[in-house]
This record gives sequence, structure tokens and C-alpha cells, in this order.
Amino acid sequence: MKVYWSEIVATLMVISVLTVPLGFYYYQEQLYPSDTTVYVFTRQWEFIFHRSPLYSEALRLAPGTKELVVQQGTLVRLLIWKGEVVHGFAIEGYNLTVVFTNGSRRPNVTDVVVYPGEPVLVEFLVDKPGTFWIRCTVQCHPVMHWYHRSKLIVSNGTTASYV
Amino acid sequence: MLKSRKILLFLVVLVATLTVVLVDVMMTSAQTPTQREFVVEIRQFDYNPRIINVFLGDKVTIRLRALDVSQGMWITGYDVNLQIILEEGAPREAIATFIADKPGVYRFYCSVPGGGAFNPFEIGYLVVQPNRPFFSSSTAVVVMGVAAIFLYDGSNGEADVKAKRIWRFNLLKIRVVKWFVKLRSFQFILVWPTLLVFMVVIFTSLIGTQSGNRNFGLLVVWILWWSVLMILMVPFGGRIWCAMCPIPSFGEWLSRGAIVRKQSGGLGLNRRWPKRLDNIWLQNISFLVVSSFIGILITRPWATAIMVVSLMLVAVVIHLVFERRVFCRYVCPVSGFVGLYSNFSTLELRVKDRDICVEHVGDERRVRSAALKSEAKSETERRIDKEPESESPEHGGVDCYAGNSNGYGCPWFEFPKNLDRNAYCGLCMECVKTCPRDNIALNLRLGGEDLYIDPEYGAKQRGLDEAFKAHIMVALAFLYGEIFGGINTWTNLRGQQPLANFLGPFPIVRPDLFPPRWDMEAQFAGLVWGSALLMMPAIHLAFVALSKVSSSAKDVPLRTLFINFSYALVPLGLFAWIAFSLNILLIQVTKLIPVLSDPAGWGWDLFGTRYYPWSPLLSGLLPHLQIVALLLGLVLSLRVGWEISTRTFTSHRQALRGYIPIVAMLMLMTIAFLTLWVGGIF
Repeated sequence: MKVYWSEIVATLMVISVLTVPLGFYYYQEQLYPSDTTVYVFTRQWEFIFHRSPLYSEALRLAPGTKELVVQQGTLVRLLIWKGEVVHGFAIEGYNLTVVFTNGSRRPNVTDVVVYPGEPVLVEFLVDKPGTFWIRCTVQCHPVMHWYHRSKLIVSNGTTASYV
Repeated sequence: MLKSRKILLFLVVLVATLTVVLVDVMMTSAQTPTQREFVVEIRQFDYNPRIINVFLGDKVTIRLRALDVSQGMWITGYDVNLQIILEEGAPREAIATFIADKPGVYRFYCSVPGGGAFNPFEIGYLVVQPNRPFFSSSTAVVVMGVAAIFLYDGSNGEADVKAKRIWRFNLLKIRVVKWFVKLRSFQFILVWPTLLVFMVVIFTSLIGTQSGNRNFGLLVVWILWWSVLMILMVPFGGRIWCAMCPIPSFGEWLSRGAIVRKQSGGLGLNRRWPKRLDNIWLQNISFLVVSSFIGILITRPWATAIMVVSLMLVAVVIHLVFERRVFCRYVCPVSGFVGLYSNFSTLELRVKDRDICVEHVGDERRVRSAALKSEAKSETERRIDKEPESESPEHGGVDCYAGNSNGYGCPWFEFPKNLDRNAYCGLCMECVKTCPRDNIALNLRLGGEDLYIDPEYGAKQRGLDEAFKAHIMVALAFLYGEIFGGINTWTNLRGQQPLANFLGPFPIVRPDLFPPRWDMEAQFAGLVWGSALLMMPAIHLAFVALSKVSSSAKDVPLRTLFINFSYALVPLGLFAWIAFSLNILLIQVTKLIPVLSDPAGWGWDLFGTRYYPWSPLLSGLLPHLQIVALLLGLVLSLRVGWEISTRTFTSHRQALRGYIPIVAMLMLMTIAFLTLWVGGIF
């Protein structure tokens, strides 16, 4: 029986194309490990916290919560992303460190501007117990902007938490 | 040309030029440069005022105020960029001052990325009077039209029934090219890279960010692919896209049971396509269906993914049921206009010498019956497959149509011997491999004659299906121009509602707060179908009727005139699409640079270009490029129109008199397109 090498190579090449989605998830996991990163989905006019890039506006593949509950003492990394207009992000009572993709950092920032489709990575050490307002700092609607808020609840270890 | 005609023509040019100069002088002398200040308010998705009128030399101050969310204003041509990011406590006004030293119409766009799904359609006009580009190009249109009539009146009036072969260069004379296209893996080598890109497109547009300006899939399909298709591939390569398109690939591989090699018997049922559907009406309909949803497709990445995937699935199903590339030839929404416009392209696949084919397969009648036979019996095909090439005609099959051990029979149902139009040749190069006499040529040429010759031998004749395709394309070039570059369509459609509410269930904008507006979608679809199938053909019919009356040719039926003169719209239509594509390409293309580093909007930075800001390219030159494109389209259409006229009417006199209304129609259409792009009126 004749072996058609070109056919085998072509088949392998086609199959390799089908692995593109896996490549995307693999690289995302390298950049933003899912055990330390919380994805913050901000849109008019709410925040949703979720654990996977699979959280998609179109498909809603991953569940999310409306409030962020974290353990006291952890270093939280938030990837703030998506949204349809320019939003802002601030946690009242905490200063944030912005982490850029080239690894440089800008510490002690009170709020960040989030452009649509351009995720911003911030991190902060959860050292103060209590409940803190998370809010949008860029006017995203003349009225509804003021309702664009959520809560950071710092857990003392007895309640379930995100990080 | 007679001397009196030369003088007349000279007078027309002189009067036209003088008129333009006079109007210009009057307009500029009436105004002295002053200082003007405009308060421009912006809200989603609208500027107020939408048109800023200034005079040449004015010192213009723009005070931009954002009413609802963070917004911006980039004035193309002057490259003035105002941005307002409404951080709490930040100023809500941005000011810029510049001297209006360039006459013409310059669009301004919102420069703050995102700003909602309809951000790219927040458009206004800066009109710097006197609008010299518009006035002079419109005058040029009139001069060209009149000159065409004079010129062709002076020609000897003997129509060449056979197309003039002005210039040809057979690319297959180049050894590397010939070696490459003769490879069995030729098409796979073209398809694989586009398949890879398509996979990324599908994935990113489905799962990636739904902000269109940062989504690889949406930008690659609607900015890059569309522009490259219309500006490069179709005019210079004909159906070269069809050779590399990955949409039918899975279907074709399944139905062949092979990716690269030639083998008989795959999974397909190989049914014949019904004779009734042997036209491009299905393609007209599928194109209009896609066009009805263009508002969703260009603003919602997920919709692009759904479109691409469903086209692939439809292709698989059709390939499994029917023989060859029925999907491409009869169903694909893109294929219809690519085929029509590739009649005008500079690349053609033909036989080198038709006599060799005739000698190879016998006399004329036998060739026809042989082709028909092999079409009827797929068994013949299989038999031929095993035979040595030279013997195949003895068995009643034709290598290029039925296929042989070197390659498949033409997937596009074409018989190369009969090819004299590009319309349905997919440039897959199977016939180069199968031809036992090495009689196939891939010619570079100066194109156009496909539009005015009747297919001499082929089965597919010119017809209403292709005529309507030409009308659909011209109508949509105008409608799309208004949607993508105009200031009124969206606002008129939306009434007092924010635009984001319209066009379907879109989860980014809260469906609980903004219910989808299907009535507006229906309104838009009505506009698409009505303008393409009723309005444009009606305009054409009116001028064609005039042509019949003025030519007083009683023996030529109106239907023939309607069909034949539709092909005169092809060059103008193609160049109108080039003007359209230049606009979207130059304005939007730099959005691709950050997207390459971060295709899904997941916070990547692959090549370090993630923060590259958006800026329109060559925007001062853009209106002039569009004018050149449209005028070129007019000139070519005038020539094609004349060639059609001489072949349709019997005498020179009739042809000229029947040609005049067509010239008027082409002139009017060109002025309409000029008004759309550089008129600054609507």
C-alpha cells in the first residue's frame, strides 16, 4: 500500500490549526495564572467578578459574582477588562499597584482608567478587614454612573472567598 | 476626429474650467479669513453640529464638550485630536485651534477607543469652502462624459465582434510559477495560512473582547480582508481569493476524501445541481441576507464568528450532497460579486490555443457532447481516472472537465476550452494539471472585454441574474458608503433612541434596560433590499428606456438593452467599492497594530505594540484618492458602455444615440458617489 506523505502532512497541518483555541488558553494561563487572578468584568453599570477568560459577554460560559470576597492577607491580582465605554476602577480605602505587560509597576495609584478591550492588571495586598466600596471613577453615563459600584468584602477565614 | 468636433470639445472644456474658476473666485472673494469658534457637543453616537462649515484661511476653534461618556474628535486631514476622558474632576471640554488651509470635506471621528459598539460611526464633516475637490471633480465628470460622446462619434464605428487582445503575458512561461501551480498541494499551500487566520478570527470574535476596535476577528474580516479583496485581489487577481478561501475547504476535502492528492470516491453523494438554479440568483439573495445584518456584523464580533462558521457548515452540507464546488458557484454570498467584478480583472485563465483543444477532443459537436456526457455520467469520470491521459478523449471524457489521474475535473463546472469570461473560473489550477496538451495559460492582461462579449461557447449566458448583481453592488456601494462614512443613516434610523438599542439582542448593552429594536432592523433590511432590487434597477431601466427611444432601434428588445448595459456599471461599481474600501482601510487600519499583539483583548502583548494608538493614515490624501478612483471608474465604464453599445445596436448612428443616455446615467452616478464622499452635504 502506498503511503501518501503529502496527505499525512496536510492532515496534521489542518489538525494543528484546530488547536488554536488551546493555544490561547495556554498562553493566558501563563500570563495570568488562574489561581491568583480575578477577572473583573466592568460594564454599564456593574462589576462582575469571575475566574476564567471564558467569561464572555456573548456566551456567558463561566459564572461570576457581583461582589468580591477575599481572604485577609492575600495578594489579589485583578484583571479589569471589557466594557463598552471608558470606565474607571477604584477601591476606596486601598491603593492599587498597576502592573504593565512589560513587567513594570506603578504603585500607590488610587484609581485607574479602563478602555474598552484593553485589560488593566492591578494588584494589592488585602491587609485591612472590613467592607470597601469598589466604584467606577470615569463617568460612564450622566446618571447611572453613580450606581456603578460593588463591594470588596475582606473575609476573616470563616466565609468562602474568591482568593 | 473632425476639426469642428475638436473645437467643440475644446470649448466644452474651456467653459467648464472657467465656470469652476469663476465660482471659486466668487466664493473666496466674498469671504475674508475670520476667526470662528464652534461649540461641538458629543454624545453617544452623535455630534452636534454634525457639519462644521468654514472658509479657506479661517482660524477655527473647536470647543468639544462631552455630554454623556468619555469621547473624542479626530479631524482627518488636519489631524487635530481632541479627547475627553471624564475622570471625576477632569475638565469636560477640550479645545483646539487650527487654520483651515485645505479646502474640501474632512470627516471627523470619535478618537476615544470604544465609546460603544457604534464608535466608528460617530462621524461629522468639517467642510472647508470653497469645496474645490468636489467642484472640480464634478466638472471633470461632465467634461469626460461629453468628451466620450465626441470621441466615439469620431471613431470609425466598426464594432469588433471578437474582443481585441490588446496585451497578454502568460505567467506560466515563468518556470517557478508553472512548477508551483502544477503541484498537487498548490491549493492547500494557499488555503492553509488563510485557514489558520480564519481559526483565530472565529475564536477571537466568539470568545475575545466584544469591543470591536480591539477584536482581531472583526478587524481582520471587515477592515483588512474586505479592503484587500476589493482594492487588490479582485481588480488584479480576479477570483484569486476563491482559490485561497478556507470556507469550502472542509466540505471539499470531505467530498473528495482527500486534502492534497487526487483520488476518486469520497463521502459526497455527488448529486447534480438542479438546472433551474444554474444562475447566480441564490448568490444575490444570500448577499442581500448578509447585507441586511451588516449593522450587527460590523459592530458585534460574535456575529462575525456566527456568519463565518455557518457559511463553513453550509458549505460542508452542500459539498456532501452535490458534486464539485456547487457552494462556491451558486450559493456563496461573496462569490457572486467577486465573479462579476473579476470580469474586469487583470488576470485570466484561458486556453493557449483553442484549436488544440478542438483537435484533442474532436470536432466542435463532439466536444460539446463529450462535455455533456461526462457531466451526465459520473461513472465516465471514474473510468477516465484510470486511463492514460492521451486516451481519455477516446472514452468520451475531457481531461479538464472530467479529471484524470493528475487532477480533478473543473470544480467550477467550467470547460476551459470555452472560457472567455472570468466570471466563474475559480483559479484553482486543476486544469493546468490535467491538460494533457499543456494548453492552459494564466495571462496577465489589460482587462475589460469580458464585460462586452457574449460568452461564445460556454453554457452560461449573460442574464438578468448578473445584471441585478451589478445593480445590487452599485446600490450597496452607495448605501454602505452612507452607513460607514455618512452622517445621516444611523441617526435617521434610530430616531430619538440611542443607537446602541437598535440591531438585535446585544448583551453588552443591557437588554433589560435597552430592549432590542427589531423594527429598526426591519427598516434597515427594507432599505437594503429595496435600494438593491427596486430603486437601482428602476433608475437603470429608465435610462435604458431612454436609450431605446433615442436610438430608435426597434429590433433590439428592451430586455437585451437592460442586461447588456448593466455590465457598463461594473467598472464604476468596482471603483466605487475601491473608494469605499480606501476610506475604511486608511481610517481604521492602524487599529490592527495593537490587535496583533493582543488578538482577543485578553491583556497580551506579543509584539510590544499593545499600546499603539489609533491614527488615520494619509487622511489628507484620502478624498483625492477617492476622487481619482471614481473618475477612473467613470472613464472605464464609459469605454465599456461604448463597446457594449456598438455590439448591441446594428448601426454606428444607433449605437451613438443609444449611448448618450447611458453616458448621462454614468455621469449622474459618479456625481452621486462624489457627493457622498467629498460633497459634505449628507
